[in-house]
Amino acid sequence: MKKNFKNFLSGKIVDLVTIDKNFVENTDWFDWINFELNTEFLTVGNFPNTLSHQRKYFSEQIVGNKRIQLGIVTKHDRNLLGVISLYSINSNNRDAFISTFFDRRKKIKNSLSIFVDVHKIIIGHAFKKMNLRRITSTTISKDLDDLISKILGFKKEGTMKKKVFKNNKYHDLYISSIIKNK
Amino acid sequence: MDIGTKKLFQKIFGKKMTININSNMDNTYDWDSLMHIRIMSEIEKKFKKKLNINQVLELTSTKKIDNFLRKNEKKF
Repeated sequence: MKKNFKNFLSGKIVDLVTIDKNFVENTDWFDWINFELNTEFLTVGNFPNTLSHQRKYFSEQIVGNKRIQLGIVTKHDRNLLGVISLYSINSNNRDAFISTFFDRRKKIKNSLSIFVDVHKIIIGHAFKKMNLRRITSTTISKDLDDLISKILGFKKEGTMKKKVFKNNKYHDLYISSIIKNK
Repeated sequence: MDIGTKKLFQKIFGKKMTININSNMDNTYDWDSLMHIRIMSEIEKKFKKKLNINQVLELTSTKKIDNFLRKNEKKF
């Protein structure tokens, strides 16, 4: 289904596409978290993921509007590279958390520009369309935390020491956020 | 490639990694966005100066980094 993705948001080099039933059934998305390389910095990956799990996740999280999750597709060849989501969306506080997942088994050209493009699109959507005012990122990767603060303007807010157990040790959890300019 | 540039890359990628003057983010498998930010942090440490966004997005090949280091080494 390489070419059948439905655009929801467009950037300079990538489109963010709707995750619908067709997306779930006809891509290998469900399989991504079964590869250690892909979950190096994530808390998932303890249990194998199947298409049935992914259908349930799709139904509860995406159809249930608990999160906005979109596929990341290159404009020029419609290649599915990853997914990005806004979750824990709180309309009272007007904030949300952000997470990005790239299928790292694919060698991605222009990965840095794509990373910037993807985040700019979703942050723009969150601030301008959804009227959110704050987006928070949490990660156990110091490099990723440095990346988003250096090139996306996230401000480092703190570190939860030895918060996440992964690969037989506890990792620090780095917290950063971006707040909408008035 | 300058010896300083070579040392910088060896520090990040390890000595086994083959990096040459034609290496860049697109033709070097291990040089992904996260590795890139490590390289940028190492440059910042070396010069005790923060790189701006444009520099981080621009310095995506050994040639560019080599030129950048040569130019800036004179200033510091």
